[in-house]
Amino acid sequence: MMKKLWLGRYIDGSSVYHAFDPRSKLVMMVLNLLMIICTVNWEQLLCVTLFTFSLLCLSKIPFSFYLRQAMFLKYMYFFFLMFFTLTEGTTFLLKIGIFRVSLDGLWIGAFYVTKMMLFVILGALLTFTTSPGEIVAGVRTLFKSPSIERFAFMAGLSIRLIPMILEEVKLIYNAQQSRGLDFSELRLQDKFKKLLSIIIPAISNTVKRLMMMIEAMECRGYVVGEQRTSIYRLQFRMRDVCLLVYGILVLAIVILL
Amino acid sequence: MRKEMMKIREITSIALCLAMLCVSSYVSIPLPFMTTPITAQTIMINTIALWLTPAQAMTTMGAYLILGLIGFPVFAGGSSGISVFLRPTGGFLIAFFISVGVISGLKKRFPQKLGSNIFLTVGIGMPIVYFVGAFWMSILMEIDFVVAFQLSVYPFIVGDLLKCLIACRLVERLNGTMKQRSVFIKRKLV
Repeated sequence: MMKKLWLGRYIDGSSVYHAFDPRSKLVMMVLNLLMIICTVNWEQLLCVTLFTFSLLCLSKIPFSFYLRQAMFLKYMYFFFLMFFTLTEGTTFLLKIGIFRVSLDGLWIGAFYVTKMMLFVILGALLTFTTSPGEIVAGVRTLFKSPSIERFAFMAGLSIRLIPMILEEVKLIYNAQQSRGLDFSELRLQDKFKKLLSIIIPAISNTVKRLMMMIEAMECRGYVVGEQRTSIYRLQFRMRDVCLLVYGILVLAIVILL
Repeated sequence: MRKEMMKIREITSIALCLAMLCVSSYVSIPLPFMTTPITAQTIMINTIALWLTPAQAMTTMGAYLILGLIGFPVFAGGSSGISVFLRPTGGFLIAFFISVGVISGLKKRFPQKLGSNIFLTVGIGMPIVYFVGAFWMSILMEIDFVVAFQLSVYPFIVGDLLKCLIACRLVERLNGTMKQRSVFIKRKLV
């Protein structure tokens, strides 16, 4: 369950958007965020929406995946819609006690909710089409500096540690269950105590494995922050240029509208 | 060489805490008397603040926020991206960063025991998170600060108290376990 939540975020495929350079996708995400932030009227929003859907079509991932991702925030959308409907605008459709329902507020709320949905969908587009390792490699090569190198190492190590921790927790949970632990029958206080009996061995064992990994890396000559070559080679091609030009053009159009 | 080895161990301990922080965002424990489940994220944030040095703790939180910003689904519920910070509740993530720095910095002045840890997390950490989070919410929604405080703080006080107590207990047990097994991250090099 938890493993699926993390590892299942990347959807493997052979679409055009999957094949783009990770650096291009990162820059494209920044361009998209700039577009959404600059959007202040409905013409601009329509332009950004069409652009977003063109990218979604390139990725060849079903729209239901993106909608499911966007619907994580459905309560937030409803809250915003109600908030703007009841507090903004001057043309009131009807009055119910202290509440005033206005058409202007409804439009303003729909505008902001659409922008929020676009934010979420564009974030999902990056994570659906780019594996975590590729994102880290893209960040490392976009900014070449020792601190970014350390951050990339830290992030890459963290990404590899997550499945290890989940595996360790599952192992210890099964071991405790085989010794008679049953979470559903415990009182609240006992539940927390038993939770600690799972967390602490998991962390301790992970630290031990981490120490062994550190020793192995040092034996292989690793030094933090020093210049190294990379086995993963990112290739910037003509289609990446086309993608970036496309994004910049749409950004210019959105700003000019 | 000794300095480089310490650097590697420091970065790997930060990476470990970062990984645990990411994992904890997915863990939630439903409680019978509360409508919102307790997430392990706050537990892990307080644990990191009490366990690491100030620089390490703030680096961990900063890396966590950067990972979420560039698109990794590491925030609560698997969300990510800059939209998380543009939410009314986005200020709490920034508040966690400030809280971790303050708790981790202040804990040097207190003896390392359960009582002072509880005081640091409940008495200092929680108010910082609440005020910064409510302030962010009031700005973003253009409402009164008192209203934002009531919306974002009152339903969560009990759960957060429990989480702080769990974090203090966890750190106490972790320190004991690490010393016992001689795998403490900051052990002296021979």
